[in-house]
Amino acid sequence: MAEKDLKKESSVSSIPKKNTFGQKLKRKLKRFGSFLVNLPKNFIKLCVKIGTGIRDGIKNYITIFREGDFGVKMSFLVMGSGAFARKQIAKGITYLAIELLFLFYMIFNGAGAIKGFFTLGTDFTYDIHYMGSGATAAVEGDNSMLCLLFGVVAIIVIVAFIVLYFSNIRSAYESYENSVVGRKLPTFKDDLKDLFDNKFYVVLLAVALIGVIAFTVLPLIFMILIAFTNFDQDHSATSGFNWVGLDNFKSLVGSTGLSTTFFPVLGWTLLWALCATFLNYFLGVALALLINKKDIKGQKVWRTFFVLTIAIPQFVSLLLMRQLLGPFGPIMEVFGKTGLDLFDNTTTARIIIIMVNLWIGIPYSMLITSGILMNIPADLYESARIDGAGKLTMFRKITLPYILFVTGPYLITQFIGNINNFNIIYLLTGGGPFGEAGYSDGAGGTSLLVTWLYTMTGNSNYKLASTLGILTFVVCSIVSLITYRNSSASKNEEDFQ
Amino acid sequence: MSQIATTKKTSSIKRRKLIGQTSAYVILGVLSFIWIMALIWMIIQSFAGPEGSYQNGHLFPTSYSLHWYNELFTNTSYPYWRWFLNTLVIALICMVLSTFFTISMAYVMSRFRFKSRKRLQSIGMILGMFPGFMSMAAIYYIFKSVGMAGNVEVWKKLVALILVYSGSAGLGYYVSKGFFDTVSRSLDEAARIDGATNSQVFFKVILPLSKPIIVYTALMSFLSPWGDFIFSSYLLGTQTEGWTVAVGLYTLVNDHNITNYYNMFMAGAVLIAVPITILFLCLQRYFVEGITGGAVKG
Amino acid sequence: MKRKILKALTITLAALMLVVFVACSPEVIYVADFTGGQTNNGGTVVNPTPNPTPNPNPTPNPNPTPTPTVDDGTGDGTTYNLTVWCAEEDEDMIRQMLDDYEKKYKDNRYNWTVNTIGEDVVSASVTRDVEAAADVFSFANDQLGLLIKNAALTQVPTQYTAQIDQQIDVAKIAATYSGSYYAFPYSYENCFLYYNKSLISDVSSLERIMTTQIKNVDYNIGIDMSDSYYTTMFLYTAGVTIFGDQGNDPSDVNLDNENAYKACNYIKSLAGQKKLGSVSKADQYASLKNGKVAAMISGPHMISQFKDALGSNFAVATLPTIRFAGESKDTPLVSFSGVKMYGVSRKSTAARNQKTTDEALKLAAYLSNADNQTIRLQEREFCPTDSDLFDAASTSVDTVEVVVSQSEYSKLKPGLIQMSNYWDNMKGFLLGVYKLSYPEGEWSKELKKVENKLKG
Repeated sequence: MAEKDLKKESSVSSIPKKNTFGQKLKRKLKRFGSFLVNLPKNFIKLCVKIGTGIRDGIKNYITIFREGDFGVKMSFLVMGSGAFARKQIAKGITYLAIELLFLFYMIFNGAGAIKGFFTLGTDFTYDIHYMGSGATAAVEGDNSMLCLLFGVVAIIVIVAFIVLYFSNIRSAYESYENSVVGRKLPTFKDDLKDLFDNKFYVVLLAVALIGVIAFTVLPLIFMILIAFTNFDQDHSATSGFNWVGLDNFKSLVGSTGLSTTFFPVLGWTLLWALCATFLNYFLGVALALLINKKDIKGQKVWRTFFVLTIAIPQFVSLLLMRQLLGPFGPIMEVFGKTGLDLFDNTTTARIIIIMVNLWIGIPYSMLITSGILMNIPADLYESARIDGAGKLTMFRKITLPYILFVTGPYLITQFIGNINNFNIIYLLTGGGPFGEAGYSDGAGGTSLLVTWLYTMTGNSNYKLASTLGILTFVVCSIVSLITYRNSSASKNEEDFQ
Repeated sequence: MSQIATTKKTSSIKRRKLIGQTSAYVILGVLSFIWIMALIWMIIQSFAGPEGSYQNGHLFPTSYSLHWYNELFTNTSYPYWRWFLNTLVIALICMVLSTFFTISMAYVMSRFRFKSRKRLQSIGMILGMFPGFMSMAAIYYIFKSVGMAGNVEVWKKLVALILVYSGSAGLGYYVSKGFFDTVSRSLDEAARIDGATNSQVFFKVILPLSKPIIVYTALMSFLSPWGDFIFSSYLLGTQTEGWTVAVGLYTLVNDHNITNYYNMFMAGAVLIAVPITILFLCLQRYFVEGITGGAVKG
Repeated sequence: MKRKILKALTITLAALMLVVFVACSPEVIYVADFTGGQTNNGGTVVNPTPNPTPNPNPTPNPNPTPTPTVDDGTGDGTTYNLTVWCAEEDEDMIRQMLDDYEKKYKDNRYNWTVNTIGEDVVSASVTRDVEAAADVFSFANDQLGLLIKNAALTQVPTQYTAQIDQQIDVAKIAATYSGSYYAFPYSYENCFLYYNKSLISDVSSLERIMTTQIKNVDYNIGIDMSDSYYTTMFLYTAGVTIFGDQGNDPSDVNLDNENAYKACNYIKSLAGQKKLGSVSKADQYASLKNGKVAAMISGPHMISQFKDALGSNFAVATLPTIRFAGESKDTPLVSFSGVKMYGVSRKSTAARNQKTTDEALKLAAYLSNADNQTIRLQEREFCPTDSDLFDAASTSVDTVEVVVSQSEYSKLKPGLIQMSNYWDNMKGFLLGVYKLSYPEGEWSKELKKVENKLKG
């Protein structure tokens, strides 16, 4: 037993340092390069796959039509006839009802909604001035936003109907095949029971997903569409906005317009995410190590002090900090420098924000690291001590790598989360010192992409806000792709489990 | 000779240890003070006298009273107690709904292997990369077209807010999923051998074992409505009785109001900080377990 | 046999479906709620662009509502639910006025909802969701165009125009849009100089203010340089006009000219002045109170706060003069003047009937009538717009006197639609000039950018 431990210990301490920083960087660059190069190739492959998929699908349904019996053939026109032919009344009625409802909807609402989607409204609210009576009445006109909403709803209904239509055909064919072979067909009751056993996940998922779809996916789709319109304060929903294609993107990223603001803001966002994440992490680890030293008394008490800042709602502590650090606030009083506005200079504002973020964020990383430190199996240390390793070596070769590997994914999620970390910047500086050269439209020296987005939403400049949101998403996904490729590679190298 | 040497060595080792320990305590002490000094200052400011202490030229108020705590309950333009009640109701309901959504989503992702599972995971991750309040305007219009935003009664707007908060709960399942991954499958199989269906396995076997993660999820979803002022200010409009604490406190310190309502803000902040802190400290164990168990294994 | 019947049934059903499909083609019937347009039933279309041509042949509405008259009775027993928006410091005063209104029309029942909302965000809140706006709200005249474009204001009917005609000229101009009144003006405002008379006494010229030796102050004078309402003063003083000299010509947008450069140079020179500081609104009260700043340029909405801060040292004066570089004479600062007005929002006709609209109009007229203007004068020292009151107050109340004197060197804020673009776009640039972020060579480019935004 002891021999085995010794062997394990020596193998751990003798992993050759094959991953120097330079080699790692080279590998990463190579991978990124190959990703870019393969991008067009992969895109073409994707198109081809979609194409063949469609072709096979069509072939499939033609075969179904040819092979199926009368019931199956009828179900191409009247949904549910396949079910009726097999005496599955409940199923048949459901499908039939779906078809009738859909037709009703299309006739009365759907077609108009689709038209509204493309035109985004034609006649808007106007006055009717009654000569002589002095009073005016408004005639409610189109509302572009509602046109968009109802249009999207109509499109979704159509897509849902198409899906149900094909599922109707497929199920008709299945039951036909079953009846030919002589298998017993599942009754409605059987289907229901299945939902609670094999297909239980459908029930659980459905409940959770409905909320997500209604309140996250749907609004997101609308806002993505808004990025292609000119919805802002001058073109509000009641006075009408229109489709403008890629104009918003061009103005944000192109050589004219807001690109002088966009790229500096992007640069600061990435810089901020880096500083915030890594400083918080390493200092938090340091603090946890300090508290966790074996001979410190009252570890829980110390930890509680720091955890207090997590308990208090973040926006309260941030507003508090803003008051404390303001030009006429108490800290300036104490140092006798009233009137000095730390938030007025971009560099000092940025430094202050990072420091306040340390105040808020270190407790989190400290907590996590404490939890991990307490969970490191003690026998690792034991065998190391038997091996003759000193305290520093144990730290370097056991503790540190363990912490780094276990919290790797956490670090990545924190980095991506910090790109979108809205509260701290907005509450402390509102986006930072304004009036800096090149920054316009509500962005300032410490604005992140999301802060700028919020300011634009506040100014009712929804079109640019949505465009920014999409660009933020692009940035986040690029970052995620890079980091996830990295971490999955590094996951193969660790063998601590 | 060697004995003297060893005693000398041990005494110097001891001294080094002592220095190390004291410096550790000193560092910890200073850091703790830095950490909580802002909070202490906030509590002191909340007890200021009626004339307020905003930028009064001193570090601390010149007189003390309970005036501002009284204001929280009696001020008519900014009815803090209404905000507190509204937020409490919202937080409680969200806690129940969000926990259910998150846990069910996490359990499904952890236990079942079905066709579109990987796709669902990637979609979830993609959705998480859009800034959350990008969809504010759309949500407002969606609710307006069903009559739950705009010029409607307060309770309808609060329900809308609850739906928004808990609706997106299904996306935050990673931590819980990590936890469920650590619960051994053999328990499931043992139950299934005994004849239980999947739903019975979930409700009767797994859930009772998942107390830490349920408490963690419930705690997180209870705490989040207290701190969100973006969505709530957008959806709740201008009726001050319908606000949540976050919106109200944020309004109290805007440029117009800060001169007069500075200390009311402090008092209000203390009133929500205290119960949440107590709650947090009692449940700290679950919080740590949740984060370490779930977050790091991802 | 059963099979056959089933078959027949399915075929008939299919046939019926086809008939339905063919007969009801989607373009013919739809019950339009929000899609598709209403047909124009012949009324005059008031087109919300600046210079509309009215329909030369308006056909009268087949169902005209009877001409309403100003109701001075005590009501007719209806219950009204009305919402009023006001600034936070005015809330008590407004509630008192509403009580008096209720007493006046004692046969009606009123359910009031009074919400406080910052004056700078009123128009944004209204245009975001017109249906959720208050029935009666107060706004500043530069938002008029935006509100009208979003169809958020109800035109003032003829029975109230007599009251508006009694206001001073500038108020009448402010409330007018394409020939009709759209709001009820009640207060005229200007920005002016507040100062602590125990610290400084000669406030006639900015240069003199900045060079006076005052003990223990951070700044001799404070201006909020991040607010284009104040920084535009320098542009106006140098001779730049926005939308023409009267502020009503949307095609006259010329910001990139020598006058603007003169103003920018002056602002740039202010950056080096140690005794002039940019003090944000949140800090103005305390800095005056603690004696850290001796003088402040601000508007009449701060009168009560600054009176409280300065106590017996409270003093006001018209804006000081400035001396541009290379000139031998001082030029008096030219400021924006504005008119505060009550507007009645127009909600969807389905949600509100004509009677409520009439009542809201009556309320707005009441809140802006001469008696209530007097109350405002007494409580908040707001300069009234009623001509008689204006003449009387301009000699009796010093804060009003200063506003009136300043009006000689002030221009009314333009109320065009495009004006709503001006504030945000200009504030960044002028603040940047003050903070020396824009070298001289870039001024032309930045000014042209603002011009483009104003041209729409």
